[in-house]
Amino acid sequence: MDFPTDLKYTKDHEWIRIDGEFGWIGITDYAQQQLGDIVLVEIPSDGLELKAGDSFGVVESVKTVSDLYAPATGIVAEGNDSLLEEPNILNQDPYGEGWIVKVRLKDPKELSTLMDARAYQAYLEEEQT
Amino acid sequence: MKKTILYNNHVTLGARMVAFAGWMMPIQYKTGILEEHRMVRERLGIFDVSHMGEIEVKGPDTLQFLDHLVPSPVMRMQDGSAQYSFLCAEDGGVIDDIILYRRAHDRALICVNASNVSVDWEWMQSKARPFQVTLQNRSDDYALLAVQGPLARSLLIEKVFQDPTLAAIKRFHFLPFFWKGAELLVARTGYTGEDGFELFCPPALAPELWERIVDQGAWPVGLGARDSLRLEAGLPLYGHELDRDHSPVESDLSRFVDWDKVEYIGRERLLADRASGGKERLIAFVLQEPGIPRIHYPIGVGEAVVGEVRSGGFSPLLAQDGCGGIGLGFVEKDLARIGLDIWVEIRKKRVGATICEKFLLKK
Repeated sequence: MDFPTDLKYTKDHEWIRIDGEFGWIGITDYAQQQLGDIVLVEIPSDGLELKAGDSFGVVESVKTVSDLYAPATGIVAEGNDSLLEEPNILNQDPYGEGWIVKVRLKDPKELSTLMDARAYQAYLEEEQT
Repeated sequence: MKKTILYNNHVTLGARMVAFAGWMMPIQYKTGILEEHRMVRERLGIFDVSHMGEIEVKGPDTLQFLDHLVPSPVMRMQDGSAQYSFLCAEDGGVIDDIILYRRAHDRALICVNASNVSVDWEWMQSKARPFQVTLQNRSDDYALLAVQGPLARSLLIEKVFQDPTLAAIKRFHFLPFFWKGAELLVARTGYTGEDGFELFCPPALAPELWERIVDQGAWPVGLGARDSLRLEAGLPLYGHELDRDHSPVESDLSRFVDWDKVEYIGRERLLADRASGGKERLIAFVLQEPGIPRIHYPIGVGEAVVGEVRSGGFSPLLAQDGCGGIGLGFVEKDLARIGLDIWVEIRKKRVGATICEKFLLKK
């Protein structure tokens, strides 16, 4: 399982990559494994305002429906439209081509409360016991 | 929690096991549901469905008993033929859907759903009393392997069993077959919409038979893909499209009823529903916009809710332009019209859909 070290992680198994005033958001390798084959992604529209913790979209696998929760506060700048045609990119490349939204962050300092790769890995190990 | 004889095979393959009808069953293997689904459509897959039940009926009144018990044309069966049917209650609601296998005029095997074995057993016993038959619950005597897909038949006949007599088995027919000193039933039946066989097998032999078939190229497939395959083929699942509240007419299965038969359990309701159309009718539908229908999502026409989804999911075969949602559901009977535009409510949004013929695959 992958835990890229340049990302921050949430307890809902999402990641965020900081890119200046923007944040790129997706779901973790663990999340895509748990969900199984993803068949549908609902992406919010550009311009939508998100508060950290808000539900901002949905990921559906064959058997389950899962809400996506905003790791940070900001405004949706771009959604990954290729996921609409090929949702399985989320399974294949969850940290790269599988990014879900790009958000203009209100306050990048908010992210310091999120977990780093090591903490997320430890969190997973705890969850599994 | 019960385990089939093949439990260890599944675990060794890295299957994700889940509890289903009191059994630990593989929902998928490492390949995943979609790939397993495609494998069956394109090549072949093997399923462990040993959790299903088998009830044997023996005695001179076997056919008469079954003819009374079910609405289907039992008397048209011959030795070696199989028939899809239902156990109906007196009120015409469905207790279970089953497959009858006529072994001889005085011997038949009934394959029933895992979730209903006890109920079916009690029901059949209570109805058998006036007939000269003995019943036996032989569920523990049979493991069941389903081998399904375009390559299933040639693999089994030429590579696994290497016996050309099996080539004569027609659809919905079966033969007893001796293998490694034990009797198997090799049945050309299935639940995926593809050609294939179901192999009733003594549990002691099942691991070897499973390994042999997998070695020859069959892909292990779990219950997740089994469900998406049967949905894509438009096949009903008990508890979803069939239940105690709906008659087989309402579940759109009239073609399995022998309308000329003058006596059987549930006949009154079946005739009434055929005449009136019943209250609700099962429909198949495809979404015209992105979305996945799921059980209990409302179905509507115009401003009104007119029914609900009973099974829904994603169809790899039908998916295009980001739309791949298909489903089965009940609507008010007058609205069960092919081509009618409906909507399915998904997370408070109405997603457009169209009523259609049951998907694909008249194979």
